[in-house]
Amino acid sequence: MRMDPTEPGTRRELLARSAALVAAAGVSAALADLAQAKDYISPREALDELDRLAAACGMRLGALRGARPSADVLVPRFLSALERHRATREDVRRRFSLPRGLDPGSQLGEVDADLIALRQALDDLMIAYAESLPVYGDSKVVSRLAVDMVEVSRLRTVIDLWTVAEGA
Amino acid sequence: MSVLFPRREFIRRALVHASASAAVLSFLEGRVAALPRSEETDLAILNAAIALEHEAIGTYGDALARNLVPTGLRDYAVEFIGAHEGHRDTQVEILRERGLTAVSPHKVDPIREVTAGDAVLRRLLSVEAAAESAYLRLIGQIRTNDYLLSAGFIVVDEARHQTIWRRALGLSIY
Repeated sequence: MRMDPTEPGTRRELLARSAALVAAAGVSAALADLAQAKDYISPREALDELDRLAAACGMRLGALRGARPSADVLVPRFLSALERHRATREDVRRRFSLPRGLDPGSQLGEVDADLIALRQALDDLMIAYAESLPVYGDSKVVSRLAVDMVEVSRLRTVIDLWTVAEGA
Repeated sequence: MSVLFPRREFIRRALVHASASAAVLSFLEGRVAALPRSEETDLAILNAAIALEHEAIGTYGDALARNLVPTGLRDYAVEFIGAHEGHRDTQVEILRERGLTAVSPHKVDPIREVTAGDAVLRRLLSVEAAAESAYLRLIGQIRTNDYLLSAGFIVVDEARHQTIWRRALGLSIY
């Protein structure tokens, strides 16, 4: 019987089952997150979450720069990327007539210069980007945010490689 | 000239072998600006993406079967072929949910090289670069939310693979 592709429960259940099978086989870390994907209810909620997670990444990068001389080259590049992404999100906010987003400079707190924690923060940000894509309903916005999401994936992989190199 | 196997050629070959939609091919080649937002477009994108995954799986399978991946990097190739199989299976499942059957795997051209080395890694890098660019170009054209969500999770995998191969080849990674 042909299933109704517009029925969200059925579709999500099938996808979740497929992703769980994939995860059980240990073949794809990113797809494993599909099974527990968060549903955002509005572009504003999604953009607020992205701003918050990106600010957390920025704080961790700042801590890394102060603590590890080897981070001097990489950290400014990463921070530039996060700033470009923030500018993209501000554009998206204007497109949806939303108020300005979080000022990352307003985020204060103590974080460790920990590569594993930075990796997790970037992972959280990347997953939030992926989970937010369906909420925008705008092909141009999806395309722009997907480009930034892919760049976050690259940053995360660079940190992976750094962690492996340190372990070796 | 790029050291990479031409990305456009990779995409074209995969899609033509799989008899993928001419509209999708035209869109990927920049000959049309947008695809109509419809269920048919989603189905065409799904089949095109599955064809690209078949091409990636075939290329990795050839490299692994003939021991063409340098020893220290073999684990990555095993991980990545598994990821591409996961991407294929997820998208096949989305089609099956709609009562449709995915395109069958096509015959993939074997890797020209006969020994492990950078040339093989460049070929694998080209596969990843082509897949990433195709998904990034198509993702804004996807209509249904769950496929859009899946495509998001897939394209970040492709970016990871690409970064690992670039590092292995001594290319800039950031």
